[in-house]
Parts: sequence; C-alpha cells; structure tokens
Amino acid sequence: MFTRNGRRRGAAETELALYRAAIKQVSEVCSAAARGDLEPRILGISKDPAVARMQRDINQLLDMTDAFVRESGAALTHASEEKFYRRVLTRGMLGSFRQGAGLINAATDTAARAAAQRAERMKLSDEFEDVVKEVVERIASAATEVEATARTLMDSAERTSDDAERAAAAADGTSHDVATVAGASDKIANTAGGIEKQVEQSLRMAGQALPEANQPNAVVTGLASASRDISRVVAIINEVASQTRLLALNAMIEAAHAGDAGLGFAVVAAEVKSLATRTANATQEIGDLVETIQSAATSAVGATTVIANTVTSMHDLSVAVRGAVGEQGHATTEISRSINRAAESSRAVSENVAVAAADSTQTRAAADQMVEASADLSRTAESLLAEVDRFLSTIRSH
Amino acid sequence: MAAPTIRPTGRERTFGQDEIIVTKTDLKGRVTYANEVFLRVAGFDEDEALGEAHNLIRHPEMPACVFQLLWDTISAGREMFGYVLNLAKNGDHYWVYAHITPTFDENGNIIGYHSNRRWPDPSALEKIKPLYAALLAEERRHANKKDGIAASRQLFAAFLGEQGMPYEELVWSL
Repeated sequence: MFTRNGRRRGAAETELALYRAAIKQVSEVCSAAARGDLEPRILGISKDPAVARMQRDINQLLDMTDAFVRESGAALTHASEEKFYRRVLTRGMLGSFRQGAGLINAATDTAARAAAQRAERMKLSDEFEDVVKEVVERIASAATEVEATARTLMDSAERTSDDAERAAAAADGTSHDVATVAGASDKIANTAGGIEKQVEQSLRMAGQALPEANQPNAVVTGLASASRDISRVVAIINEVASQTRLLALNAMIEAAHAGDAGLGFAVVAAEVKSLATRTANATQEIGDLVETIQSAATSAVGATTVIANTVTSMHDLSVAVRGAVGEQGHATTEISRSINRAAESSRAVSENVAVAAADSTQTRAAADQMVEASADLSRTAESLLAEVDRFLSTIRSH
Repeated sequence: MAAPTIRPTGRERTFGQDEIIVTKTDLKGRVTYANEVFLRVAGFDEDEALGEAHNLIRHPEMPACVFQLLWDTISAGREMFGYVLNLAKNGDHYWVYAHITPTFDENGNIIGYHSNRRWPDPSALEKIKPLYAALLAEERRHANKKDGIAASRQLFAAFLGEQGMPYEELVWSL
C-alpha cells in the first residue's frame, strides 16, 4: 500500500516536475516572443503527447509569426526598391496570417501599378522631351536659317534697290538720249526728203540743160562757117579794093597826063585810091576780126563741149545722189523706227526698273519682318523649351 | 560535418501544400532548430538533427554552385530563394521551395540563418530540373571540384543572361 502509494506519489511528482519544466520552458520562449524575440524555440520535445502537442503548437505559432515577419519585411523592402516581383508567399500562411499577406500583396500590386504608370509616364515624358526638344531644336535652327536668309534677302533687296535707282537714272538718261536721237533721226529723215526733192530738181534741171548745153555748139559752128563766108567776101572785097586802087593809080596817072583837064579827075582818082586803101585796110581789119571770131568760136565749141560733158556728169551724179539719198531715206526711216522702238523699250525698262525698285523695297520690308518673326520664333521656341522642362519636371516629381 | 553516406532510393516524398519545413542554423550552418514537419519529412529525430550540419540532407544530384550562390547571398545579409532537392534520412528525396534568410541581432549583425521550405510548384520544377541537370553535368566534367563549380557558375550566369534577368527575379518568375 505504502509502496504502491509511494510509487503513485512518485509518478505524480515526476509528472508535476515535467509539467513545471515544460511550463517554464514555454513561459521563457513566450516571454522572449512577447518582447519581440522570435528566435527561441522549444527544444527537446516531450515524450508526453499532450506536452509535445503544446510545445509543437507554440513552435508552429512562432514559426508562422517568424515567417510572416520575415516575408512581409522582405516583400515591403523589395517593394520600396521597386522590386514588385517579391511578394509575400501565402503558401503555408494560414488564417489571419494569410489575410495579412494578401493585404500586403494587394498593396504591392497597387504600388506596382503606380510604379508602372509612373514608369510609363517617365517614358512618355522622355519621349515627349526628345520629340519636343528635337522639334524645338529644328524650329530654332530653322528660325536661325530663316533669319540668316532674311538678312541676305534684305541685303540683296537693298543692293537691288540701289541698283534699280542707278538703273532708273541710267534708263532715264537712255530714254532722254534715245528721244534726242529719235528727234535727230526724224530731222535727218525730213532733211533727206528735202535733199531728195532738190536732187530731183537738179536732175530735172540737168536734164533740161543737157540739150541746151549742146546747142551753143551748133551756133558756134554756124558762126565759124559764117565767118569763113565773111572771109571769102572780104577776100573778094580786098581783091576789088586792090584792083580799084590800081585803077585809081592808073586814073591818076592818066589824069596827070591830062594836065589841068585832068586835075579834077586826078583828085577823084586820088580819092578813089584812098577809098580803095581804106577798104583794103577795113577788109584787113574784118579778116582779123573774123579770124578772132573764128578762134573764139573754136574755143567756144571746146567750152560748150566741156559744159555739155559737165552737165552730163552732173546729171549722172544727181542720179547717183538720188539713189544714195533714197537709200539714206530708207536707212533713216529704219533708224527712226528702231530708235522709236528703242525709246519704247527704254521707257519699258524705266517702268520695269521702277517696279523692281518698288518690289525690292517691299522685299526689304518683308525680309525685315521675317527677321523679326524668326527672332520671335527663336524666342518662342526657347520659351516652349523652358515650359516643356517645367512641365516635365512637374510630371516627373509626381 | 559527417560525410553523406546515405544512398538515394529514388523514392520521392511529399508534404502538405500549406506546411512549412522550418529549420534554424547557427552561423556555421549547424542545425539549432528543426520543426515537426522537417523531422517528419526528413525522417530524423529531433536530437539527431540538432547540432548537425545542415548539409546532412544535401542530395548528390544538387549542383554545388547553387549552394555556393546560397551562401554568398545569405552571408551578404540578403534573402535567398531556391528550388532544392533534399535527401531524407532513408535515402528518399523531396523537392522544396526554400527561402533562407539571415537572422540579425538589434545591431544588424547576422547571428544565424532561418530556412522556410514550402511545397514547390511542379511547373516551376519542370523548368528548374533541366537547368540543374546541365549545371551538375558541367560540374562533373571537371576533375577539380572548385573548377567545376566555377564553370557551372559561369554557365548559370550565361543562362541568366539569356533570360535577361537576375537570379532573384528568375526564381520569382517560375
């Protein structure tokens, strides 16, 4: 009885000691866990099934808690580094632990979506920035080019304007000169007309003079033959006078013979003799005169031949002059026409030059505006860039 | 650290999809805690496991480079996920999806390691098995173990390069 009782009491004490030891162990591990130390576990699992179950349950609770803490910590750390693939493993997590894990994973999903959206926004921002900057750069460079071109245009318009001014002056001068030439050529044409008329007239006169020029020849030839007739008559008179003088001499001689009776007769004979002498002298003079006339007539014939030749030449010359004057008239008319055309052209040039001058002034004004516009464009591009930068930095900081 | 003398049986063991195999080790990898699931699946008694080097369950078909990566990672203070083929005491094997994390004291010093092993997704295993086979083959091509590991790590790095993602992301993508 004693022994039996004693054995029973001994077993009970042993069991009590076991329980006490188990409680102490559980208490220590739970205290540590309560302080946040999840490392300790109950080691040396009891042979007693009930104690062992308690020990294992406490260990499992700690394992589950430990796992949840490690998992959630790791998942959140990864999420904060944007490694959203790291989730809380829900496998092996039960009840509230699983719910908690699910919540954390849902939060991670949201964060992942937000990050993806942000990344997409960043990407879009980058692309936008690239595109806008390229566009703005192109605009800026185009504006610079336009400005340079406009400046060149302005310079060239200015030069054109100067040139046009000079050309206008030159064209005016040309117009004036051409007008002068036109006037002169008109005058020449008129003059040529006058010359033609006069040449016609001189031609006519030469034509008329030609037979007349040959007429003196016949007159002079008639004169020569007449003077030859006269010479013959004079020779007969001379003959008569000479015989008369001889007869008078003879008569005087006879009268001398006759003495006083013949005195009167002698006087008459002397008178006759003197008459015959005077007649002989006169015929001598006539012969001389006829000779003079004859030589003069010969000279006159020569002279009239020269005149006739001269008049012929003059006629021929006039014909040539008429031809030349005609040609000159044609040429002058042609010149006049050309000059008038030239005058028209130079007027047209003047007008065109004036138009060009006006155009170049407008061009210069336009180029001026273009320079301003391109500078404005450059400034706009710059402010667009600044605005884009501001926009992007705002977008990226959200 | 006892040399593994267990001969694999080729039989596979499994465990519940919501069970977690938990072990803790000290800095040298000696087991300081093993939970009930571990003891059941690996087939050890608590006192057989405690104090033993954790590689007592290492299966000879596991590429060594994976364990090297594991130790490089966790000793650097980072967590490591990995599919691991383990050996039970009787030579059976079981696949786990292991998550090993360092345990820190309040000053941030590593004071030990903690391993949670979960039921592995069979589709992930289908992808990991050929990779491990290739890595293992590479390791066995070399007479020198160190050269073998270096070569298989290079192969592993090349594989990751092809996949275009770091190991950690790859594991999560499976």
